[in-house]
Amino acid sequence: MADLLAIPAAHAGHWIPYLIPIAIVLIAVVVSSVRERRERQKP
Amino acid sequence: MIPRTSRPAVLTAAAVLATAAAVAVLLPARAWAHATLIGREDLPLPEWLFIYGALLILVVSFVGLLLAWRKPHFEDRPARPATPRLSALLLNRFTEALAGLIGVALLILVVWTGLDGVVAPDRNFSVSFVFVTFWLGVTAISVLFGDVFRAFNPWRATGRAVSAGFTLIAGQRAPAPLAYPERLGRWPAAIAVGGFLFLELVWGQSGFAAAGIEPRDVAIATLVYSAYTFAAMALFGVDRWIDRGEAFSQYFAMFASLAPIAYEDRRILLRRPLSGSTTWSGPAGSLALVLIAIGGTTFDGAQEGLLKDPINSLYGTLIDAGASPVASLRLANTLFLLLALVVVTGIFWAGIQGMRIVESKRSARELATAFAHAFIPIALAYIVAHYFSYVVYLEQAQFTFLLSDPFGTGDDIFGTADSGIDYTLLNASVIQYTQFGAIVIGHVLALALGHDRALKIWGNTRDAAWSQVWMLVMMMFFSMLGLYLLSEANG
Repeated sequence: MADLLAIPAAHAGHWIPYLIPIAIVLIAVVVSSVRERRERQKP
Repeated sequence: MIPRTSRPAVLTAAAVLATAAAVAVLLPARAWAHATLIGREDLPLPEWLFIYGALLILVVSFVGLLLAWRKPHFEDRPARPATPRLSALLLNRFTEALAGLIGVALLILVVWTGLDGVVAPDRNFSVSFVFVTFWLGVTAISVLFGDVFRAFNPWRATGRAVSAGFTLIAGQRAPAPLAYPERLGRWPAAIAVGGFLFLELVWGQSGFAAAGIEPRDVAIATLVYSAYTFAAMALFGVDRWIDRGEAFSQYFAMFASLAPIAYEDRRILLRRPLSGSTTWSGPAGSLALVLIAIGGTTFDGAQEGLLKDPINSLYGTLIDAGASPVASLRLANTLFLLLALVVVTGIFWAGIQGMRIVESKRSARELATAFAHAFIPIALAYIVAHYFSYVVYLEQAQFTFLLSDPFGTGDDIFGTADSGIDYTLLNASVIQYTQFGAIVIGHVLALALGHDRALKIWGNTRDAAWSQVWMLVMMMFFSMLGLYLLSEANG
């Protein structure tokens, strides 16, 4: 079963370029959304 | 103008993406040499250009929608009838009966060739007809010409004929014994579509000791599904079951909702493309249907690439545990099919939960139902990207030697039994651009449908933008997943 985790790690060079831009955008969107929520909750 | 509060996320996303693209360009070529989109060295564009090209198109489309799309363009748009003469010519008792007869004849042919034809799936009419011509071909026809399958549906045609016969003999219509439970919605259809995908992608998977699907399996599955459908129609009424529970009717109607043509009471209606989908996602189970469609294609794409090694690894583990080779292969594929469905559903639900960071008044269920229809173009995009070349090649066989020799026993009914498949019909570039184009266009259309729905729900671009920034994230996930699967499957 350890192979199941080792296989994605071995292919990291291929999938990381796909994941990086989404991860960065996701973080940006989460931070912005939380800030907007706080803005709206201010009296 | 983009509303002030929505600027940071949108602009940050665009800036980050542009920076990432710049970094990608500056990286040594070797870093990207791992694979090209469809794995051929002589393709015109490098893989990074496809990745960042797709993401930039999505971000630019998103910003464009915020700036220029200020009121709904798909919602509440009534269809207008085509000329009555055209409707009368195409939709009348004769054409209805003819379409129904063709559907029933094809159903019988599938069962007959499946039971009586040769065992080799590539020489028997039934296998490629069900999994390519019917499953993929009718999807394409539905997107272009609307819900055509309804007329050709062999179960509906048979049910209506039996019902008409009863009325003629008894002098009264037979009422359905049970009312269809509204809470079931499209769930029976979604579950049966899942069953069809299991048959195709798990049961039909060959390798190691499993022989793959045989024509006889197709025939038996068709008979079992027909018996189940006739029983359900007898219980709930023909039209009610077709309109909610019948798997293929609901699956093809989902794609037909994108079409510019609709049919109602023997009238042809013309409408704005995509607008039909805005009323599609009401019944329970609609979301499940569209996610299963995406999940099935995701698994099929991953089976030959991304998941190939993990499936083999799990297969080995199960063999070591004492399971038989066939059971091990099927169990391993079943688990990864379920995993694909969980991943697709997880991306969707994470996006919906993201929307609720800002919009907390509406429940996740409400938002999920409201935006489910926006994912139909993604399901279509995945299908086109994954099966486009497959359909082009297999349909050559279907309409030449398999039509002339449906049993594979040496007949030559139409004189085309000696024809073959021309694999030079498509070159690598055409396939690559079609795959990329399908993924990008499908996700841009999904963004447009989501934005349109958000404008209807919130009535202003500011709140719509805060929900749609999450739709953008989901589109990025699904487009990258689609492109990555293609890259892995063909690499």
